[in-house]
Amino acid sequence: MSEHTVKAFDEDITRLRGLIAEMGGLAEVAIQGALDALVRGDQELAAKVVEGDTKIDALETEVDKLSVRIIALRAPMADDLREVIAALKIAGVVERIGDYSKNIAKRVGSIEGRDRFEPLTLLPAMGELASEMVHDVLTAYAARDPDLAREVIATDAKVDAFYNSIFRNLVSYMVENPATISSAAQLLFVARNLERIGDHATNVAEMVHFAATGTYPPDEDR
Amino acid sequence: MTVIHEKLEDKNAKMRARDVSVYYGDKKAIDEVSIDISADYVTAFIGPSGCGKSTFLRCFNRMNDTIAVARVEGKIELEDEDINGPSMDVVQLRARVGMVFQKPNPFPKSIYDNIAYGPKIHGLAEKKPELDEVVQKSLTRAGLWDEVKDRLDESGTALSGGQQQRLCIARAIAVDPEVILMDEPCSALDPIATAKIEELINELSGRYAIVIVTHSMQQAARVSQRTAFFHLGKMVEYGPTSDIFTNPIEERTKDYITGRYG
Amino acid sequence: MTDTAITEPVRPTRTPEFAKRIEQRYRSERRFRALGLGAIIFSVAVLVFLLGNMLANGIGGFQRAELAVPINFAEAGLSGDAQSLSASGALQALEMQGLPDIVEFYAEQELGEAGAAEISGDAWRDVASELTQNPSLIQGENTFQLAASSDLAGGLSGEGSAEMQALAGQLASEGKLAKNWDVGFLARSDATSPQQVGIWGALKGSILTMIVTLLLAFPIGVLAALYLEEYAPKNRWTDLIEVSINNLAAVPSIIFGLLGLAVFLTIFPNLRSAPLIGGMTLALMTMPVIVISGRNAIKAVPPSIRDGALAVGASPVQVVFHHVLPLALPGMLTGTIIGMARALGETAPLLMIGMRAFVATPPDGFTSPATVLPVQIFLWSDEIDRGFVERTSAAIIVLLLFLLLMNGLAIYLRNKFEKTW
Repeated sequence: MSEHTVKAFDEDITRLRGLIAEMGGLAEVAIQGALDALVRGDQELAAKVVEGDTKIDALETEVDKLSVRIIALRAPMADDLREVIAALKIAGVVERIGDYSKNIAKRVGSIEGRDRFEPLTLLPAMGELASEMVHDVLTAYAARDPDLAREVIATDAKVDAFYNSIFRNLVSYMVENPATISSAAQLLFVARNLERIGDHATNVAEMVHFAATGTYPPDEDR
Repeated sequence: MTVIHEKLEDKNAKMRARDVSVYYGDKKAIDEVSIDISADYVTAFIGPSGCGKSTFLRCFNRMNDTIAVARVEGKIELEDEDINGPSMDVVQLRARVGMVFQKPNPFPKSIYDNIAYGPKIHGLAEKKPELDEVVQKSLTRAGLWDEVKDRLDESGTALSGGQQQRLCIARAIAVDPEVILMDEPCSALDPIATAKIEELINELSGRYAIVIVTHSMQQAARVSQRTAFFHLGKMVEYGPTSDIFTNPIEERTKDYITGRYG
Repeated sequence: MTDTAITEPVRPTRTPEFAKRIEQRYRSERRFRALGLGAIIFSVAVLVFLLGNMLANGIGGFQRAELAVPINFAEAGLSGDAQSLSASGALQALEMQGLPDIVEFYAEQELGEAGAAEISGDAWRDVASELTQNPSLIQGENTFQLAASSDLAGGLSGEGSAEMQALAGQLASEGKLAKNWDVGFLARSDATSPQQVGIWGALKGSILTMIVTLLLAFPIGVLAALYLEEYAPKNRWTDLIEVSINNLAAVPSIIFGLLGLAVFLTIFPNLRSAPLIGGMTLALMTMPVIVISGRNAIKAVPPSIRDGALAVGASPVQVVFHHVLPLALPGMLTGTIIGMARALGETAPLLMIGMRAFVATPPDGFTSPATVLPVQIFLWSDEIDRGFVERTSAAIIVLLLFLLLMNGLAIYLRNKFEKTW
């Protein structure tokens, strides 16, 4: 893509992408950190994740401001306009992903007897997948790559499958051993959060597709 | 050659241009352009300077006739009648296809005479009461009546730029044309005057087939329902305005619209 | 060293050299203004000197030395009533009745023999014309102011022979000889004596000639300009015509005189010296100026007005006559006036076609012999009699006033038609 005649426009767009990439990186780190803390029962790490979320929130505010500024001052058109609108929405979604990570990190303290839970081995894998989705979708955004975005959308089915299996697993634990209900319910929320992260990554992928092509991906992909 | 967006309904086409080329001497200024003009929508021609959009616009009322070296090929029809054909007189054509120019160009006569001139030379209104009615109707339709009704005897050139341009539009509609061609009508006006002209274009569309050439993409986006992008004498892309501005197909259109041209 | 060169910003506009250059520029501007002002002052001074000189001389030209002669017609036996005196043959009737002798007799009685000799022989004609205008003068005694001879007039001004100066001094001291305003100068025509000449014949000749010039040159010039600018195709022929017209405007005027002589006088041999032929010759000379200025005026009409008119469906002729011509007219008028002013002051071509003839009566029409102001001035300035010097200046003043009047009219017309856009 060639440069804009007005160089400052290019600089604004580059900065906007930089902010989104930074938010995405922080969100990935937050997911990983939250799961690490969960698996290892590391309260300190969990606290760090919770603290890190404020940085994501601050970045979202910055993206909002920059987007409004670009729309007001540069009057973007066509793919530029779509990209700015997508960035605005993606920032909101990534902020939500950050919130979910924070939510997971907050639950670290309330889970006991973590060795006994089989799902604790499944959850990191699911988290890995979710964070990979977030990573890929942001790569797709940066590259304006609708194909990669569609792959991300396809990956969401796997995350959903993970969620279903973990759900069944935890329910059977609760049935077998009512003493674990409290912890298992917490883990259920964690799995639920990871599934939501996957859904949000899918939303972002759709926006990336729209920003890149001007159309939403066909229904069979969703 | 031209990318045309999904099937555009053109049953009510008022004017049809087919494979129109314009030469200035040996230089080809317009290269085989085909387009339909209708009263159902406002058509905007956009493109960089020198892309030939104004030249093409001037084909529709044969204003290129006044340029000795200009030569027009191809066919342009006004209601299925060839405008370059023997049955069409150029004076009659220009009465049916009005034009508004870049720089407001009221005649250095009174406001009244500016409007009454067209109907007078065509003999559309002979007597004073008839003329009065035409003048009032045209000025009202151009949204100028309330501003000038008390000073119809003043010179048209004494008005402000925006009022002058609306006077020119009123002058064009005084002969009740079917098509109005506008060649960058707001390029010499301030934003408020521009907004008034744009509102006027909105009001006039439907009654007249309006074609507007503009340098301002925002203006094309605001007033038109169809947009054609011209580049180097070719019509590169033509489609609904909303599509052209949010999701153009051709790379050149996209580059121009997003400010990457050149 | 190199470090300072990089770190210290060069400020070329704040160096003393720069200030010096600025001062220099202002100085050259002041110098130029002083020169321009000097040029203007010089021109104005020359103009004032010329006009002053002309006026000082010219005032004398509007006066003439006159002798007061009381005549009693009743005593002389001359009679007549209002009716017979205002009839067409009154002049001859008065001559038959011996008016010349009566005038001579009373002059001798009043002025003595020497004085009476200095009354011009035609003085009785002045008396007669006064009588025909005012028949009641024939009753009783009235004093008439009769033109003195040019010798006596010279004597009154302290020139000429000693006897004449003495006679003039004597008559003047008796109150019988005085310089009076000569209203008749504006009503008479050329004559042999400076005491008897008038400018009306030449002025009328000029007016008639100018009318012919205007009527021929203006429409032809304007139409030619319109055609060349609006209709003519751009090719070698029109280029040739354009160059020819431009050259024509620069052709020396005497050539036009030769042309008039060779062409017009061959076709109309009986019209030698007539304003018609003069006007035609001057029209030839004026037309190129009108064409050139007309074309420039048409070019200056903004194309947007033309486009606007075409776009509402005006035909090319309507565009020209409704829009282009009215807007170009002020410019065309300016060019016309410049051409006419040049034609008015033109002498050479008119000499060629015989308008230098001695014409003692004002022309009756376009075909009767006439002379024009500049030619008259030229002729008078050639006369030997000193009395003509003042008359020449007076004629120049009349010419300048006529020119001023014409220019004034043109400026009025131009402002009336001028429109702004």
